[in-house]
Amino acid sequence: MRDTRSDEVLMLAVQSGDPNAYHELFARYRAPVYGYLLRLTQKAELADDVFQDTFLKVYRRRAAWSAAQGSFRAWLYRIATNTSHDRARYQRRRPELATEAPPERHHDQTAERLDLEQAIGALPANLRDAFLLGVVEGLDHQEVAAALQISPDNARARMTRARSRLRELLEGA
Amino acid sequence: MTDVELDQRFAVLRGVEPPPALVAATLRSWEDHRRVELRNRRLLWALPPLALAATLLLTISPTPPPAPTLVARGVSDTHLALDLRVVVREGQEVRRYPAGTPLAPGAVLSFRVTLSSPAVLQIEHGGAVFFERALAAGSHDLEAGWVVETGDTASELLFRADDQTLRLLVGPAFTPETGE
Repeated sequence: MRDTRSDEVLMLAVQSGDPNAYHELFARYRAPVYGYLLRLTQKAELADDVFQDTFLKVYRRRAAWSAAQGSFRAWLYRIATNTSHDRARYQRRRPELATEAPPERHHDQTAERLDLEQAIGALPANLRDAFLLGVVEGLDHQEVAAALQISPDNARARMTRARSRLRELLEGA
Repeated sequence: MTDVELDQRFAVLRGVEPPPALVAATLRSWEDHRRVELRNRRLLWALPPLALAATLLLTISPTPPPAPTLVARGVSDTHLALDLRVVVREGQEVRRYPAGTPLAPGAVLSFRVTLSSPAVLQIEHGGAVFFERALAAGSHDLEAGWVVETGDTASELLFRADDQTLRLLVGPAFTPETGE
């Protein structure tokens, strides 16, 4: 039977020690978060590491979340984004640990999807994360702002600039 | 292309199912962390009896219980001095704990930390923080402790405050029958 509890109710259950609630949140968000991280990092191996770290941090820091701070979804993506940035900084400081990106896993992609993926990859990082969260993942402006720790106006502006840039890339292709 | 048309084009990218091995590894790391947390949380119930045992020893015996062993001391760059002392209870016996020595399953370690200035103390095992508390300067008998379980190998507890880290080697569990 499908669990119809909201994310926030599930998170309260996680805080109370319910393992099934954590499983449900993981099941709901594993695909969206993984997709987000693949496109944010542009490296499948890095995305894998950040994915695992993200969901472990969600559990370890569960006491830090409260509904008063905003949606669970925004908090989850904030953890994913910050973890990704931290990892990228770590690899930049230790280039000998950076590995070659493995071959892309999605060999069955259509030409359309490849164009979209390449366009996203061509965006500057600060526009890419706002666009991925706001458009691809469907977060509202408040949630994007909370996830990226910027103002809602800044989130809106980044998404506008991202759309403009993507339009140029796709229409020029 | 309007914003709506553009957004609709990109919305098809939503969600990529992670590889099954990654899903399994992620759930496994969560289970491992949860298991450590649950084990350490059970220790909270073990400690009031330990405190009671120590109190009883003090009141019924003319000699006070043994002072806990100073196992580690450090002074950080921020001039925080951190002392750690450890007592072990095995059955009815309460004694000093020499770090790294083998322990019977069910043995409980309790900790007394002394700080020269206020700090947040964390205790970590296997990468998981199972105790975190803001403490004032002075000595504190912690309500968090460590219980040894059958099959435990030697492991390390890290006590962190400011930039100070003290390491406590916890000995392996031995088989009570053979003492090995």
